[in-house]
Amino acid sequence: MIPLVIATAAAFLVALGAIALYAPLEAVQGVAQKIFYIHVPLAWCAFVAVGVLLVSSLRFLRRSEPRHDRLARAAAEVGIVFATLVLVTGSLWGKAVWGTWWTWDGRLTSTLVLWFLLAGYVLLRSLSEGPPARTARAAAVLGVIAAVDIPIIHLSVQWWRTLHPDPVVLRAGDIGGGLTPRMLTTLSISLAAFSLLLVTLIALRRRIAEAEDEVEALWHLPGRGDLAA
Amino acid sequence: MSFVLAAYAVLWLVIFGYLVWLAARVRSLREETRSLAADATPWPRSAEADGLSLPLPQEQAHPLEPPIRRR
Repeated sequence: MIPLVIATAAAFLVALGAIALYAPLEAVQGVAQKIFYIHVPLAWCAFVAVGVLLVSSLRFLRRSEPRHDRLARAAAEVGIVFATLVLVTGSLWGKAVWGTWWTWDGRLTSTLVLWFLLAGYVLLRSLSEGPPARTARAAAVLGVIAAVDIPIIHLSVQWWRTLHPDPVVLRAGDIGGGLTPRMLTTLSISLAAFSLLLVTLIALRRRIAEAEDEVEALWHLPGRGDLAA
Repeated sequence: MSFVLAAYAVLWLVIFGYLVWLAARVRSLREETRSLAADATPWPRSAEADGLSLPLPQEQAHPLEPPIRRR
């Protein structure tokens, strides 16, 4: 875990340097466009976290193995942290460029829907007082539903009239073609740093989920109720 | 420039806030595990199981003494 944390910190220092010193100023938006190097990797991490949530939830629904549930729990919680940051940094960028903090267009609204789905997942896990196995299955179903929103978010800029720009990186037949080479390099460095952060946070949260399950098992040891009574 | 700095500040506030919350969760889980594990240890148990560095006085370590209630 420690090497992962050190690698993440180092990657962020390099990314910060690249964003501040290496990436060129965009002609129209100027310095405000540099939020792009934070906002896009955050969105990428939120999507990957939901992808992990989807795969783990499906595996748990199929095999009922606690390790899949623990990974799903970790991915959902880290996913909501990144989804929150996507919305906040997008709002700041929107204010700088569009002149408004928020607008109810397809991309923003579908991202907000994802945030609510993940919040629902986290609340279900923390507030449910039913049998743990039943809560885990219900949460897994919710995790799969949350993942359905990802393609909707991605395609929203094509489906609906929106203020949000079209994709500049993942364009059909022209990957990364919307950026200059230096912008693309900076974005790649930033993507790597944020991806390391995502892995670190999910790994840490999964360990905590393991400890939570151990504590839960200790509470249900035979004779435990007699002592606690 | 202020919007970029604000974005970075929010980013790190949220990430560090989340890390602090995780660290607090780890700490509380450790304490809970220690407490539960001590309760689950058969009686009489060693002083180490209670997290003490010194052995218990003879009268407190008597085999017929009931377990300490922790909750």
